[in-house]
Amino acid sequence: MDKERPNKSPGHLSDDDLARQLRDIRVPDTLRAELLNLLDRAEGSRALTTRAHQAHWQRPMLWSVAVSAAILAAVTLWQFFPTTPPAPDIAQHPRGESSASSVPSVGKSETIAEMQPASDDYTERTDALRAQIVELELAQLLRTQRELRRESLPELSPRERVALAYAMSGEMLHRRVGPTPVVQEQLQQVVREFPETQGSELALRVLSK
Amino acid sequence: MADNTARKRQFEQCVDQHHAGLYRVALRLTGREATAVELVQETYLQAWRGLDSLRDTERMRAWLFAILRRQFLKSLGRSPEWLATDVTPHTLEEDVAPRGGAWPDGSAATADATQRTDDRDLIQWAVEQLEVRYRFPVLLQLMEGLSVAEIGQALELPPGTVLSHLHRGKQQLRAILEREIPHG
Repeated sequence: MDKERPNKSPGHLSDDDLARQLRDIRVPDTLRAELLNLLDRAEGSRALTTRAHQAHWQRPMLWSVAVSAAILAAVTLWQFFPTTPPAPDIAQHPRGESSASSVPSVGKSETIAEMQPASDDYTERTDALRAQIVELELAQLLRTQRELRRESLPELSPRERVALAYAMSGEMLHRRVGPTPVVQEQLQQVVREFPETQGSELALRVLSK
Repeated sequence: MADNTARKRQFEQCVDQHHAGLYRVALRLTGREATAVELVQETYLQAWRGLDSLRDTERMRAWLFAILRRQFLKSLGRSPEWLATDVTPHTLEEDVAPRGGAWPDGSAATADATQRTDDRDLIQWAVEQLEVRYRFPVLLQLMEGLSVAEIGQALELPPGTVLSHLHRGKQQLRAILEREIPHG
């Protein structure tokens, strides 16, 4: 305590003396207003937090809806407007097989009857390609929706997966745009085409809402 | 909406009734006006967030001082348990200095005795010599007239300990003043 001594004398200090000296403080006039302004700041910060939170989940949701709608549109177009037979070089390489072993070449001298097997082969391969593309798109949709819902789905058979993907897509559209004829038709199609699957159960639940 | 309005009204009432007392104690604790204002603001911010947890409004004053104490210790980088350790006056200066050597307002945490006694009044200087664990009960009773029960609530201490700290704290405060200033 080797400190310079204050140039004051405390005298005999009672509790009242101490209290009087301790309380000898001027409270800033602006303090009350500053404290009441805290509410605005606190509420402003809470509103910002809420908006940030909403943006956080709305953005992936919108993306998911957009992707689902695009896939749905692509599948619908595919079903109702069959494409022309694909070019031979595309059809000949569905799984990386060599062109020579997979498809016979088509020459001008061959008859229609001779070309028929090749045509059937193209059709089969085209269907297989379509099925693969649809499968990939649906797998992508499932992944997106799984991430969105933050829950893991059980292992499903391809048929179950297709049904469930259609039904989930329909459910999302139902929730977003309501029971429009297109949405209802999609859900009914799931019920018709994939009976006794989780997808059809989900579709029935959504239809009954 | 009605709840929020009632909550705001309660908060305004809380500010009107207690802001001066909180500021006075905060200033004695920190010795700096800007730091005291910050401490009171932080206290009220925490109070606003936790207003729903206050069931008994009779305890509001003790509750506010409890928050003030927590915020003060937080500004020192200390936990409430730290107060239980024995701090002797000659080591107090080091112990109360916030980490990093500066107060939240950026001013230097320590000053030599000459500067301190020139710049502040004697009683403030004496309070700063007091052990921190005694400062709270002494200031709360002498400055704001809190009862032993209220001090116990604010400091989370049993009444016996509060009484003991009050006795020793006031004794120490008088001793500091009388030791430094010879009676004449």
